[in-house]
Amino acid sequence: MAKKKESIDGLEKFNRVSPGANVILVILFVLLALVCVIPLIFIIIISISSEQSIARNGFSFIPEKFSLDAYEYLWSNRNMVFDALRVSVIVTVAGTILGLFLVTSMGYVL
Amino acid sequence: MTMRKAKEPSMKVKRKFRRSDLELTILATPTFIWYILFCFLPMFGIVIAFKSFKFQAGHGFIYNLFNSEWSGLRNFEFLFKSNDVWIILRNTLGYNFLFIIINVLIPATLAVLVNQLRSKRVAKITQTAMFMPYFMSWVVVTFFVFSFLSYDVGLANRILNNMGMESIQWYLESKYWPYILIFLNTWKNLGYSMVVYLASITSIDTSLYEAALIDGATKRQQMRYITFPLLRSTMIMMFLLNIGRIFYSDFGLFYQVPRGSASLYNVTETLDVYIYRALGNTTNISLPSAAAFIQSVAGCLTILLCNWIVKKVDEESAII
Repeated sequence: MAKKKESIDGLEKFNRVSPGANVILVILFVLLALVCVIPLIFIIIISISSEQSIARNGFSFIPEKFSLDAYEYLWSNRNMVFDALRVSVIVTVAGTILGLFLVTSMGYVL
Repeated sequence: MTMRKAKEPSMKVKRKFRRSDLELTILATPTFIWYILFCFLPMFGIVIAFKSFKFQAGHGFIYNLFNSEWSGLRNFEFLFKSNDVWIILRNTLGYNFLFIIINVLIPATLAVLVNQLRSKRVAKITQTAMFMPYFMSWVVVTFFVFSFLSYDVGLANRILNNMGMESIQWYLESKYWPYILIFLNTWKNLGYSMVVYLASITSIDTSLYEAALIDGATKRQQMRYITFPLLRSTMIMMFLLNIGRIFYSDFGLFYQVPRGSASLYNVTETLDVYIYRALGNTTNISLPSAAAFIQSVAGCLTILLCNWIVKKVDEESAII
C-alpha cells in the first residue's frame, strides 16, 4: 500500500500544474475562502460589540466598545435555548438513525 | 438494470418463493410500511385541493373531509387571480434556472481546480472554509446582509461614502437585488456542491491520468478528455435533481433576506413567498393544498420531461 502511494506521488511530480498557475489558483481559493469566512467573523464581532456603538458608528469590524449583553440575554433565557437545542438534537439523531436504517435495508433489497 | 433484465425470463419459468426471498422481504418490510404510511396514504389528501374544506366541531378530520362540498377547480383560481402571476412565475423559473446553471458549472470547475493545487493542505483549508456558509441559516445571513446594506449603519454605504459616493437605499432599489440574491445563493451552496463533485473526481481511476501523461497529454487535455467526461454523469444527476424543484424556491432566501421590503416585490416574489403571504394567515386548508398540488405536479412533469430529453441524448446518464 505504501509503495503504491509512493509511485503515484512519483508520477504526480510530473503531472503538477506549473508554479505560476499554482500561485494564481492559491490566490483564487484563498479569496473565495475569505469571502466565505469573513461573514462568520463579522457576525461574531457584531455579537460582542455594544448596541450603542453600532447605533452611533454603524457596523464595523473594529467596534468601539465591547459588550457581552447579547450573551447575557441568551443566558437569562437559557431554559428556552436549551430546550430548543435538545429538540433539534433529538430530531436530528433520531432522524438520521431511522433514515439510515430504512434506506440501507431497502437499498440492499433493491 | 441490465442484469435484472437478463434474469427475467428464467425467473418467469419457476416462481418459487425461496428462503433468500423471505429474508429480502423481511428486510424490505419496514421501508415498505413507511412509504405506505407516510408517502402514499397522505396522497389522498390531494382531494382537499378539490373541496371546500369546512371544520365541524366534534367530528374527526376524515369525517369533515367526506362531508365537505366539492368545489371543482375553484381553489386553483386564486393562484391565477393575482395580477402579479406572470412576474411571480418569471421570478420563480428565472431564478431557479440561473441557480441550476450556476450551481452546476461553478462548483464543478472549482472542484477540478482545487484538485490541481500543489499543496493539499491549502486545498483542505480553503474547502473547509467554503463549506461554512452552508451551515448558516438564512436568518443569520439576513442579519449579516443587513449589516452590510443597511442605509445608515451598513458597511457598504460607509465604504461608498469614504470613496466620495452617495449612499444607496439598498432595500428600496430593486435593480441590485437579482445580483445580490444570485450571489448569496451561489455563496451558500458552493461548498456543498463542490464536495459532491470532488467525491466523484477522486473516484476517477488515477491510471487514466498516468496513461494520458505517458502519451504526452497536457493538463488541459487531461481535463478535457478525462475529468469532464467522467464528471458528466454527476453533473446531469445534480441538474435533474434540481430541476424537479424548479417551481419551488428557497423560502429563506426570498422571504427573509429582503426583509419584507415591499418595493422589492417585483424581483423577490416567488411562488412559495406569494403563497405564504397570501395564505399564511388563513385557516382554510384547501387553497394551500391546491397550490402545493400545482407545484408538485408541475415539478414532476418538468423532471420527467428533462429526464426524457437526457435519455434521448445519452441513455446512460438518465436517472429514471
